[in-house]
Amino acid sequence: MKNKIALVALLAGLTTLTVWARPPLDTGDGVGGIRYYDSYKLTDQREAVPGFFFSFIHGPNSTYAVYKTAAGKGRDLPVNINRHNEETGVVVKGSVLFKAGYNGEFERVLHVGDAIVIPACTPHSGIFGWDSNEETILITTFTEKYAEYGSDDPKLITPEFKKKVSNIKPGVAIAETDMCKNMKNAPKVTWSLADIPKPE
Amino acid sequence: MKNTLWITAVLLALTGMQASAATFIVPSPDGTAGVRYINNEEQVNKHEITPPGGLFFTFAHGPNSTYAIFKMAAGKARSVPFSINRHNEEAGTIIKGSVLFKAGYNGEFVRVLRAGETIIVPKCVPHSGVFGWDANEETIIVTTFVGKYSEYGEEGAKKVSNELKDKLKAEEVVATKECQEMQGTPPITWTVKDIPRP
Repeated sequence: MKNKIALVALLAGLTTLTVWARPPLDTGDGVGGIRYYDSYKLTDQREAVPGFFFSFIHGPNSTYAVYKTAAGKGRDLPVNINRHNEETGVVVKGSVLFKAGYNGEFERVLHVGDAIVIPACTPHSGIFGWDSNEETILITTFTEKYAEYGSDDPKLITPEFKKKVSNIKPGVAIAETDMCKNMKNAPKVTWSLADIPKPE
Repeated sequence: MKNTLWITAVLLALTGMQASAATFIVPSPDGTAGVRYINNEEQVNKHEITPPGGLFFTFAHGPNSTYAIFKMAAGKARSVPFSINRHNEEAGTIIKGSVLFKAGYNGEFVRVLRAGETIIVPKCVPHSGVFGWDANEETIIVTTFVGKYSEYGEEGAKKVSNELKDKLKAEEVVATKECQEMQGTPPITWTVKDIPRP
């Protein structure tokens, strides 16, 4: 009898523990083909270069990425002129001086809630923390898989990403994917990093 | 002499204005160089969808993508009805508020998403949700569709597209033609009635 009571108590305890351990509203990453991503938490864990945090996740035909610059660091971050697949970007914190176009003709300070859609291979660059070198976060979706970023394993930083934020040589620094490099009939890029305004 | 002083004053004023304009870094109009600029809050606030009311929605097409903003007003968010949706691949991020998000052919993904959380929904995977899950609070989601979401129609159109209207009828499944015709997909085993309620 004592054993039966103990067994029932044990089972009841285990059942309670199981229910407690499985909250009904959290079924985990990847279920049903859905990728879940905690943008801020995961980005904080991946410092690509000092003061610059970068992380991303691939969908079947897209890549979602987060770029964050720490307060006091954004303006010093060397971002080359980029050319890659079509992209939508939204500033969710801070500010970015954004310059784009083959002639650098789009120039605008983006603040929280401002979004841009950049066609494939259109050259663009910018300065994070434009207003006061404040913490800045930009989230972005590439509307094709950004295969050059490699695996979305958070420990890896690919050469593709590194070339965007290093080896700055004003006048020649364009970090571009092979697709853009080989694009036919694209106009010449007539501006360089030296043409990006500097914050006062 | 009076005239000379007056002209000098005008010229000085004009020079000052020009200098001020030259240093103001927002000279480019929307769409320059093919780049589209959208101010989420300002533009979405101009587009309330009625009925049901409380839902603000706007979007911009890129050449091969569509960027959209959904904003649900405080006190209204939970009552905005959404059918189960099936369309092209989508990456959505919660900017404000909370969403109970349910997805998958068997509705197997269920999660409350809050600010900073993102989901990527593969093409045609069924999904729906309840906005303002936590406290019927204002909720904003920005999302990018891979492939132009042409069923939304032209940007700036005053008429709400049938595609969006259908989504707001809370019918069981609203699918784009491409998803309707997709071969080999599993059956959808859940309905809007299976979505948890706060």
